[in-house]
Amino acid sequence: MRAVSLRPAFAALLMLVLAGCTTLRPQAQEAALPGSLPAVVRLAGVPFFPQQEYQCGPAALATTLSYSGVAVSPQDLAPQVYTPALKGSLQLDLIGSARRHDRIPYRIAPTQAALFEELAGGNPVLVLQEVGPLVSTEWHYAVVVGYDRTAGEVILQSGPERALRMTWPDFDRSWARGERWGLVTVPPDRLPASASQRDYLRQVAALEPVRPALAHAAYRASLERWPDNLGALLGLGNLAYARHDPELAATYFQQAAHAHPDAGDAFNNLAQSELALGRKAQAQAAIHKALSLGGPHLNTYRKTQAEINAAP
Amino acid sequence: MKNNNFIANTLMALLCMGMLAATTLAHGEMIGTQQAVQASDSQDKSTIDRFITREDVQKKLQDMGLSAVVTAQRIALLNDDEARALAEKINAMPAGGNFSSLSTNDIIILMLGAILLVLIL
Repeated sequence: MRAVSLRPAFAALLMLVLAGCTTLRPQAQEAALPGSLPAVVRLAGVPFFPQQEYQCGPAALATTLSYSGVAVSPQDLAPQVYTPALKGSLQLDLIGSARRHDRIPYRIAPTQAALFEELAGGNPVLVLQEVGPLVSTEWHYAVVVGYDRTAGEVILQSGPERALRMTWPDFDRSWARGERWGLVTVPPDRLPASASQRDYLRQVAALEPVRPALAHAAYRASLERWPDNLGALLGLGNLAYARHDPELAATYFQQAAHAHPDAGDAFNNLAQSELALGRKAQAQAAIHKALSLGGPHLNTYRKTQAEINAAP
Repeated sequence: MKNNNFIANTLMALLCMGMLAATTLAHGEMIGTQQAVQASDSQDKSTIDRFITREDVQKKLQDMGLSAVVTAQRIALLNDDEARALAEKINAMPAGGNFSSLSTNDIIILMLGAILLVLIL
């Protein structure tokens, strides 16, 4: 009798095991790959740091940073990214460490196309995987250094292995569990191969408060690829304003407002810069335009208007 | 003595609140780049506790076995939202570390399965 009562528990456990294996189905993405991508890519000259115990974070980051021209070893990076109590490294610490070494940490879109585009563009991709043959919560970082579309494989530097080949479905299953997190670390004057305007500018803006010089270089590079990009113009304007140069800030905000006549934020910041320059009439005109455009930051525009009205 | 402590604590609390207010007002009525390029319906922001300070984050990291110097250096590379996210979710975030063919969890599941099988049979 006692044994029978355990049957549902066993069934539940079995379900759990199966669920763990099957909930995340591989994406059928092969069809969506751009035809321009080469059939086989294998990056040459990627440094290899065989991983010591629990040190896959420092090893993987040292790989992509070294490849992008930063002379660092996993030992150098361990204090910056490895957290002893977690026996591992957090994604945010990898991102912070890349910023410290003046590289833009760019999280690629969670797709096979973005991963392959980066490799074809010459950037190894640091990926988060969940590894283990059964139900597993062992998180692991590896670096994808190549792919072979004809064989349906990706090639990784992973742990102690210099060239681990995984079939796409196997790799994708392990990658999907970590929300297909993939990171490239590129110099700020060179944009990631798969960068989209929106995602790249968001990720650069995120580091602007902590690494303004790095953000500045990346905004300049963005404008070269995408002239008139709103985020880059606002970023350069805000950086100039923060350096107490409202004159330069105003030129960037004017350019932004001219190229994006529906961007209230550009007019608000232009109004602030004009106010800082003591040009009250121009400030009034700009803030009226911002207020007429409205949008999610309308309250800030109203405060700007009040500030302008209160100015002598 | 007690009174002194109370005053000190109140001062400390006021100081902390002041520091937070100072960070939010630092840019006057400018729209920050992050604010401008973020999706207006960004869910991450609304779920993060605005009253977590960088000192709280530092303490959490120090509890993880890191020195004050190292934690300060790490937090200095994260923006306010990232630092708060770290403090709130540190125990739920994946921390990549190991490379093994059979994880501890796998072994536990296998053992549980074996025990159940023995009981059922």
